[in-house]
Amino acid sequence: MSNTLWSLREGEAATIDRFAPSLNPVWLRRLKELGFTSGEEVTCVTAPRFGAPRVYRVGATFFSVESQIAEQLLVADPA
Amino acid sequence: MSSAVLIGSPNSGKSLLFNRLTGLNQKVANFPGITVSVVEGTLVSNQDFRVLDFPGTYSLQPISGEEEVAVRNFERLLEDADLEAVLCIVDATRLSKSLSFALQVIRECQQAGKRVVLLANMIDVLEKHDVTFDATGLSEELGVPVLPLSGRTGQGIPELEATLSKLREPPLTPATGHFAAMTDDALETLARDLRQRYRGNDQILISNQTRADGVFLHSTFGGLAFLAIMYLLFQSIFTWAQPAMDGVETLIGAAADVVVPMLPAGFIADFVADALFGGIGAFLVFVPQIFVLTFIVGIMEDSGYMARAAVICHRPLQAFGLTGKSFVPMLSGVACAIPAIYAARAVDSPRRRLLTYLAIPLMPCSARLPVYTLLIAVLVPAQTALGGLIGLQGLALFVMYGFGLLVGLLTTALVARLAPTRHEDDMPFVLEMPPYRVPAWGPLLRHALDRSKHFVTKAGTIIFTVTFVVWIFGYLPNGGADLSSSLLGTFGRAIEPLFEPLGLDWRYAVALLSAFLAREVFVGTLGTLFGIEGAEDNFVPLADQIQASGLSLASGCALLVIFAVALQCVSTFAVLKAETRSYRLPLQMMLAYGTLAYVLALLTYRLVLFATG
Repeated sequence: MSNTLWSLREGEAATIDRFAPSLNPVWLRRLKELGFTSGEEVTCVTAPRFGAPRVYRVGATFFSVESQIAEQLLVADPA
Repeated sequence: MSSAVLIGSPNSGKSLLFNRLTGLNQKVANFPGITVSVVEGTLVSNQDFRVLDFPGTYSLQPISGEEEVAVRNFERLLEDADLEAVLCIVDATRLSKSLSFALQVIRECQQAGKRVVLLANMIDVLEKHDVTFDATGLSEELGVPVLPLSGRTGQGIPELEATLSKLREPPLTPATGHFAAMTDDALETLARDLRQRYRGNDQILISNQTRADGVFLHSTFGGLAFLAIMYLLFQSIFTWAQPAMDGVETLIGAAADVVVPMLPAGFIADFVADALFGGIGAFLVFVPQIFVLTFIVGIMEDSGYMARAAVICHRPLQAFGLTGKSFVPMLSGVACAIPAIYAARAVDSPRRRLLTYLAIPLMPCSARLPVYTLLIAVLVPAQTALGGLIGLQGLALFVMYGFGLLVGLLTTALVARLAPTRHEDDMPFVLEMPPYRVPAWGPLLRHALDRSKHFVTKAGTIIFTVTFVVWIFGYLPNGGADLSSSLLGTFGRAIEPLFEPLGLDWRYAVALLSAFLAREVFVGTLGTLFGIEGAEDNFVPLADQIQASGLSLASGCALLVIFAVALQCVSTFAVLKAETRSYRLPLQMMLAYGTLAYVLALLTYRLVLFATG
């Protein structure tokens, strides 16, 4: 079973494997446009407590993402 | 007139480049979604060439209000025969987020038969870190010119201007057209491939951002830093602006001392002394505070901190039905509700955007600042505590700002619970974190000056009209000899029963009613009223005159509550109507907030009376 993006700890990197089928198609398209594509390496930069959005790095761009979305991106260990 | 359009993803530096090309002073900031409407200007180097700056969008398939503005206008412009070129701007330091959009733009332009020039902005940052950018290679792959440049330093601008001047000399752009028939999936595959090959050594660019985010987004330190920055903001409004405020007050007093004795005694001299120096002068004193407030909010935006503040606030705001993206419109509302309502377009969820609209008019805007400052100066002694660390008046202002915020949040929480959530209305929170930067001080100062000037000119016209009317009605029929028997006094006493339960006499009733045009009119109106009444000592600061008139603490607090809650701004009403395309929401808000303000003011008055015996 794959881990989700949300399960990454601070400083951990992973490769995006696939997207949960339940992910809203509008957001699936937008995430791909932002660079969250299958095979792309993503690093968890900060993972604050209390369920606050976490910051992930894709390439040189940083995005803050809340759990509702990050739990629907399935990741694998980096290649 | 020939034209070109600037389009690109949010925070790619479009507005800074637009300002450099046109010499205008469009607001720029290091935060996604600052440009929320289309702005146009002409080239400094060619007044016959028009440039349009569009709001940033990550895609030509919009999901938020400001993206819709950009895409709708872009598609309309592609049909315009005068459109010579589309200038698609990408952030060369973060190509991964821009490439999908750039490919969509190239495809759309090739389908419409328009030229595209790709502008690789922020090339100065890459050069500073010795990172190379292969503009020639990218240009050959895409079949469009790629110009490396920097909107910040001006590097590459002459080349861009030269390119624009040759647009009518084909063939500048070889129209290969090979993108025109590509599907979305094919574009996405190409974007992924280009990302891998043109990303360069981006590790160099990210280390500072990672370290800084470790502090500013830390569960404990991040929250403490946020509170400290907010507190500093409100303290500085008093401490930094005070010398300038004293200077303006001295200047107005000195000007009055020179001008008034030169005028023949009677109507004209009375008008200049009471209405001009007493009314408008009392308002002008507060302009330095508007400047300081705008400048500090600008520093937060330009440094990249604003996006972090939005992340810090996301979870707390969620509890009130809002989102972290609501934070920026709400903080903009601390300066003025008008740009804040426009900024709410960046809130992509329609439901949360509506809730943000409800919160914005309750944010303590700069128009409230003169009123708060005046009443706090009347009610709170100018003393410090904790060895001079905390000013009591600054603390009182902080409390007033907190009160407005609290009422706003409780209102949105109540409405969020009463109105059912539809899943499709609830967009999740994904926000780009811009890099930390040293603010561009020049544009920041110019923006703060523009904002102060706008504040004076916008409010000045209304204040002049109202103070003139108030003064005439207070002067007639007995030449200002007895204000209480003047036309104004008669009118004031007619509406006085409404305000008597708050311990306020007819003068405050008149000033409060006049403030429904714009809140800051209250200060000018009181200045005129007290100017007429205290003719022998016109130029004593207004706060001293109000103190001498015996305004009680309970009534002063009631006044503060009314100004914190009531929707007293014609411009806010008009913009809300324009954004929602209906009178319904602004009318409901004006009625509801007006009633709430009166009830809360009454409760406050009674509580303070009870507490002070």
